[in-house]
Amino acid sequence: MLQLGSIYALIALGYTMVYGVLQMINFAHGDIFMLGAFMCFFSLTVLKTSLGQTLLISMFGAALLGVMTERFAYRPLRYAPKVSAIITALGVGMFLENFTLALSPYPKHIPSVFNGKQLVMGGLTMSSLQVLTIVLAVGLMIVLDIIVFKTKLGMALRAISSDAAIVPLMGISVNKVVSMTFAIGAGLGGAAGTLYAIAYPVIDPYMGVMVGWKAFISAVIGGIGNIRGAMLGGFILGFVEVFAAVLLPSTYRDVVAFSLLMILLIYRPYGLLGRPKTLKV
Amino acid sequence: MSKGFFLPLVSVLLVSHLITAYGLLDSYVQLVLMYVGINIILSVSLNLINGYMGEFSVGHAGFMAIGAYTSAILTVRMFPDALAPWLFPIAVVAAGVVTAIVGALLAIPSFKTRGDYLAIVTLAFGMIVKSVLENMDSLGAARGFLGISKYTNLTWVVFWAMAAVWMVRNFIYSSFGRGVLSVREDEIAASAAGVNTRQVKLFAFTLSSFFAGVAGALYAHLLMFINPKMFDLTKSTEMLIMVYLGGIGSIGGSIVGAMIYTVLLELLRPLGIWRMVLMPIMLVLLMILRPRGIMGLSEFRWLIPSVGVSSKGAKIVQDDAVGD
Amino acid sequence: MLLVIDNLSHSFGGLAALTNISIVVPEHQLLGIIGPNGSGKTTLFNLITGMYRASSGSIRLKGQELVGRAPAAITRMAVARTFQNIRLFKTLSVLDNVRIARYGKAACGPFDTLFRTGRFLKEEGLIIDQAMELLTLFELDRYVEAPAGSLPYGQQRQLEFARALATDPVLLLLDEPAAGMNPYEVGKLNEQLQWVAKRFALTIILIEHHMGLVMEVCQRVVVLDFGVVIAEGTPEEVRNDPRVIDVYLGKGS
Ligand SMILES: Nc1ncnc2c1ncn2[C@@H]1O[C@H](COP(=O)(O)OP(=O)(O)OP(=O)(O)O)[C@@H](O)[C@H]1O
Ligand SMILES: [Mg+2]
Repeated sequence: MLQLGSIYALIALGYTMVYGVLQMINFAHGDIFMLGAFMCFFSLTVLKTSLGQTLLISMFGAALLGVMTERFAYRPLRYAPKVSAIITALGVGMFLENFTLALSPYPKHIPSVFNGKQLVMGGLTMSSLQVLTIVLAVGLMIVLDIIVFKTKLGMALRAISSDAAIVPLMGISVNKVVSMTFAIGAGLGGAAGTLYAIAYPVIDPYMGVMVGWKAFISAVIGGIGNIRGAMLGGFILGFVEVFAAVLLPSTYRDVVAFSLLMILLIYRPYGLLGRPKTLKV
Repeated sequence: MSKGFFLPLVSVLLVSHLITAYGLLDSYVQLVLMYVGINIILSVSLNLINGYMGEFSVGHAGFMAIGAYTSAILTVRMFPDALAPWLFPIAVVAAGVVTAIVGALLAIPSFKTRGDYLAIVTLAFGMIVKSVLENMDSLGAARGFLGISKYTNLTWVVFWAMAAVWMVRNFIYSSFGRGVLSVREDEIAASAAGVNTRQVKLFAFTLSSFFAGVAGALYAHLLMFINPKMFDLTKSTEMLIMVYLGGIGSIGGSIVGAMIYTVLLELLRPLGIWRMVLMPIMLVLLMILRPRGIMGLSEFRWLIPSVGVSSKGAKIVQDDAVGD
Repeated sequence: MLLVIDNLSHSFGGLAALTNISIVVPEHQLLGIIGPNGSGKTTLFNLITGMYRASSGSIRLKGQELVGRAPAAITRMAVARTFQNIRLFKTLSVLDNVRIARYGKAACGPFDTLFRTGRFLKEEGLIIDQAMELLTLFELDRYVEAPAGSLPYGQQRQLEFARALATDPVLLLLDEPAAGMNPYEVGKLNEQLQWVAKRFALTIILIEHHMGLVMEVCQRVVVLDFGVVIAEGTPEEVRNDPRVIDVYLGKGS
């Protein structure tokens, strides 16, 4: 459950960062995650890389892809009506899914990289894989947190979320910040794809759709645009889903997740860590 | 009914009836025409919320599913077999009504939230409908609902497509319906101008979901088989594409969008899976080159009713008109 | 008394925007509200029209409490307003802008609308006639079909004025209608306010920074400063009130 939660959290970060900077829901992000999983497959089977190398390859590959989608699909629409950008994102997502499907029509099996060692910690049994997933995910989030709250880039990123006009005044180009945002967000999505593929080793081109939406929900639960909120939301959703599966038939997992979202949105529309927008007349 | 509209409506209906009755068109062409018609109903009804009201609903496939299942339950399980073909129209209307009631419920969150958050509520709604259907064994769960008879024909599709276009148009161009647009433009100013924004939203959601339910019923009785997966996010996305391709806030746009999308999808069928690679690329290019879609915010003149006669006797026509 | 504002207070978070305001407005009066920037004038309008819910106190229109009602409900009780920053339905036509304000006045239901029944056509024709009449009165009739956002600034203000009147108000709240106008236009507005008030039998509350206009058209003036009423009386009295001169006129405006 911490494992699933940490994967949701990693993907949710990508949604939230892009939203923070561009106020746009990047619906293609779930598919970047999916491609992360496919790059993991490619790297493990064709390049025969180690796990560490695999992770790096899929992160860089995904980051590159994220930057490219922004450069070629979203940037021309930066000043167009917001919905055009959203529709474009849906289109990019569909393109990535179907392109992958055209190249790889059958689900792929990820070779297992771990012998299932069990670790026992204070009454909790976890496989070493689960521990690794969680440690890696949390590690990446800590790095991100440092970048966002301690570096100049992070400052620009936060500045752009509250007032885009101020960033050029800081001597930083807006395009550069946006590109970096996509690179970091997509890179984390790629990492999530690899970790997910190793944990649930059958992958297919549409796997990003549902997981992507779940991650998106996580971002919303935490308060979209809020980076720490996305992490919190991911863990909450992972937790709720696993518990729902214990109490109800597993097929109800999605119903529970989405109902939770709806209830939350009706009572706290700005998420747990988000701030309500004040209406000014 | 306005005079200008009556004659063309009846003649189109008559022609489609003749086509159905005497098989004047190749059955494949008829099938494609029926898809076009059903997609017109869907895109026009979605445009009411996404275009005219300015919200972003991503759950329209959920409404369609409710209509499809409701009508299938009625014709397969409730109606006596011998009467079912005759009662089909009732099943379609009932499907619309049931869906409209659910749509009215979904309007409630829209009273409080707007924009992205409402989009997510509709998304969650669509997902819940699909998941619930997948868990209902009595409706065939994920395997689907079998044994539906083929009652949908071109005449019915044309009839309902015209009804959807006509009623949405009547609504949108009335003073009451202009309230929907005022909510899109400026909700605060709308309420200051006395627009009951809740009533407007409720009505828009109800009307929109009614027609989505009707489309679902027609779809079910055309395919003769439905399962929850048919009404997933991909279906909603398809509708969004039709609406935004044609242009938001334009009934003509929705018609054009549905036609182009459906026909193109058929024409590109020989490409196999690459068709689904090409379509999104075209969509992205269209959005970049024409972000408002083909006819964004403008309308065919023949679709616009002359709303009334001013005291000076001059005819007042709506402004957002282009072309013929 | 048409409007009775009693001990009204409002705060945003910790910021007290209005404190214990009491104002009474008799029927057919033209009341001016003046005060420096940020003194709470617009907030008062937002409370009367239900845009914000007052933190405490009451606002009664002909004895009926307004606090707690929705903005549209208050508009239907015959209170109309304009906004400091013009808020029109920009992509809609000039006619539509006025037509929308007659929302809910038609004696026909959703069914009539969907099926364009005879009753609908009659009611709709009536609404359009009334809207056209107002537009003609405001010399906007030649823009009927133009999108509201394309009008010149002055005409946009006029349209907002017309839209407010289309709701059939008894009480009209105008938030800085003379903002951005040259002396000639202010003169015209001055005349317009007087005949509109007469013709539609209105009670008007006017927020204005333009002293000349306030002094000429208003029968009574209330002065706000930091959310408190610091003076009240005829324009003459207010003009000579030392406190007012101190906080407001003294600042050289
Ligand atoms: N929605 C809001 N949230 C927080 N503070 C607000 C809000 N609206 C107004 N204020 C504050 O309340 C105070 C009064 O504002 P208000 O707009 O009523 O002033 P005003 O008298 O209309 O000023 P002006 O002459 O500039 O229009 C100001 O300090 C303002 O910043
Ligand atoms: Mg003000």
